[in-house]
Amino acid sequence: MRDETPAVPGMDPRDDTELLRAHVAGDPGAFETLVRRHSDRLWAVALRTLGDREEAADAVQDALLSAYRKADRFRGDAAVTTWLHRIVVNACLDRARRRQARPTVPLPESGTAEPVATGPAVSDRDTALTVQAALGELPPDQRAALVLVDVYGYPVVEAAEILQVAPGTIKSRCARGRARLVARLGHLRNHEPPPDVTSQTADDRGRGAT
Amino acid sequence: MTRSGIPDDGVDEDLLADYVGGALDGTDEARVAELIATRPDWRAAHDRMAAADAAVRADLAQLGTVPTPAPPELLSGLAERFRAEAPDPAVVPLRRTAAERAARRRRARWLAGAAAAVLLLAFAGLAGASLFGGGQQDSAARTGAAPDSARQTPGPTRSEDGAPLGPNAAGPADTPQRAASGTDYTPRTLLSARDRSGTASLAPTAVPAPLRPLTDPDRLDRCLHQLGTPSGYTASLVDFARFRGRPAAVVVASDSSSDQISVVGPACGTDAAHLLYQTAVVSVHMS
Repeated sequence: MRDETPAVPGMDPRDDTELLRAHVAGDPGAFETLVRRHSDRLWAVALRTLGDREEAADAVQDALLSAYRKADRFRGDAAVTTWLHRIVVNACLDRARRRQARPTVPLPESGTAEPVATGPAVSDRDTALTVQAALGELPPDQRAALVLVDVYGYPVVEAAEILQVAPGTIKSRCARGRARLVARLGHLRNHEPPPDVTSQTADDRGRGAT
Repeated sequence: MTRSGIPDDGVDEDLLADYVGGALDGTDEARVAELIATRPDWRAAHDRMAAADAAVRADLAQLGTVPTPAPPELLSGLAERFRAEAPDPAVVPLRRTAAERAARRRRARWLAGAAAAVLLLAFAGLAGASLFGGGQQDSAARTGAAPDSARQTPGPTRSEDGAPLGPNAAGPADTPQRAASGTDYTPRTLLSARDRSGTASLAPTAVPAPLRPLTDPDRLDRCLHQLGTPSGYTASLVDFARFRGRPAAVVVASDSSSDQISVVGPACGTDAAHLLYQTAVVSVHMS
């Protein structure tokens, strides 16, 4: 569970739970303070899960507005940050599943369309674009698990709480997702063109993966 | 296929990935370990996957180092949406922190002291006027009587321990009107509850089903006791409606210059008030 109370001078001294309670009790600025405290991380997870700035912005906005409205339902059985992540990630997964039948090309960080670089001279930025594009081809559940655990280093247990599945399921989703990315990302080291992994990702059934 | 679902020929990539990722345990883990130890195709696939697994982890971790600050326009848009959802600025949150309550008490004490000083000066001024001008005894007497009159002003009371008294304790005349407006309130629209008119008897079908037990007068009385109202307030209306899409009772309590609007859940009157939201509306007279 993550630190609920960033002790940064000049910041609101209330911890996340206190801010959420204050919001429920009618403090008009409490929820915005809470959101600003975690916005970078929530945005990053949404952006990497959806691979599209516009969709990620819509997902985050819808999710946090929903959290704003249903804050009184928070029962404290998980950290406030876990709860916020759960709402945001679920909003992302809903969008990702809806668009699965009509995949789009992810936009780069700058928001301008650029081709994905291949070959031996790939820079770090190109690598990031390639990895992001490859992530976008994974089934949404595997993608979300990988974004949380491998991209942003959330403990498996916390990712399991966010996605409300067993830790073993998170491990399986990550492992199978990585195995699929191998085919896509092997060219970063082998200098070979990336094979089409769509046919591999189409069948996500299998033992242990839910 | 074998009994455990592992193919007799070829490599099950998903199962191998689960093994490499530590997602297997017990029988499956032991079986895959045995296959890697005894079958060249499994061993080759395992060695390849284990090496690539580490490289892919590194690629993904590198993606996580790319700075991705939340766009300012997203945050400003959210702040705007939150403000649109929030109650009107004239609505003052009732629940305050202990520090805020202490500060308010200090301000109240200061104001009480200042008011007493003003009264004393006024009395002294009037007494002085009677001494020097004569014929002002009546006015002086009225001013001096004012504090006693204020103490004797009838109104809603509190019990000895400060607990607010419900409408029944205040007498039948103070029993709140009841309404079932069908409104789905938000913090922003909550003020409109003050304009609702209620009735003494409600059609049960007009009340959302989860709230029907709360229409029982005894249960409602318990609920209002548990909810509590500030000294001087009287519950004037209960609207059995919805709040943010969920069945909830909206309780309007008023005094001479302000209203308190509380939203309680269907369980109010059982173990607690189940307060969902509460605001106070203060009338500000500009002159």
